[in-house]
Amino acid sequence: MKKVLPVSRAAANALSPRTSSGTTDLSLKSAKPGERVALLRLKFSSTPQLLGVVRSAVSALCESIGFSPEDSRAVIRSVDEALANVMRHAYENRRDLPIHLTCWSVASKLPQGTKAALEIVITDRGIPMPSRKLHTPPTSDLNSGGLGLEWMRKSMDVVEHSRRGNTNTLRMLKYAV
Amino acid sequence: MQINPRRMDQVTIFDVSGDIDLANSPEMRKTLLQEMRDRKTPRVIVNLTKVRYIDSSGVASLVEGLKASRDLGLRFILFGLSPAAREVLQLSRLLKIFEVYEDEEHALA
Repeated sequence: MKKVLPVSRAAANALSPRTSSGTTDLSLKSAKPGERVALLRLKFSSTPQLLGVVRSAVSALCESIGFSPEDSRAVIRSVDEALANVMRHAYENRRDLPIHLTCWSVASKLPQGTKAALEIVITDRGIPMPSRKLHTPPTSDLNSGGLGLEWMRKSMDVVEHSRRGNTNTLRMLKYAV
Repeated sequence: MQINPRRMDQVTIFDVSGDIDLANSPEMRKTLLQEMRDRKTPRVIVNLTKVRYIDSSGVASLVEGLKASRDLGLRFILFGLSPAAREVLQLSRLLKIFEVYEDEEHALA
């Protein structure tokens, strides 16, 4: 797994001015309209044992940017479920294939005004997700299939799948309160 | 993740600790199903007090345990749900399907 690099000085400054003590505020609310700043980039192999490592990194990021514990859990489980889907379905349980995850601080223009958000983009070079699975209805009481996708849709404000060439891209947004 | 059994008269408690995710949920599934199908233990209790995180594959394993218990006429009980575990069971509309208690004392009563 590629080493996780600290947030660059330029990225940190772009998010907000330094505080009076000289530390950098990573709060999403400092993002300017139209601004998009990469906070975390990870590249790792499709090994399930690495899911815990990624959860820890995303958990630490959510805490740094000021998400509530509830919103942090929503982001962590959505990322984890998305990655599990890549490993199981896109890569058919092969353990040596690359997954890219990037977390961005964004400020989205919405009809009701500008809202800061954490955008998470996951890409893989696996097989495409069947469209019937993308449109899976809510599960019945004891039917556990499709749970992960349902959790993602309920936990995140935006969930978008796309494919370009050989690359699957999942984009998720969680707005800051 | 670690899963360790405590066997008593007519009851087995599985103490689970760590995260239950794609890497290790198959182990939990196999352990629970083996206990019910091979030993036919009348009451199987899963202690989730030390489980920090559970994903959809972990929930699916618990659902399979519940299904097996119903097929075999056994009781399948959970206790010690963390906020994260409770949240995902609620998201899945499965919280009311399971027999859930706050602690071991109530699970054994």
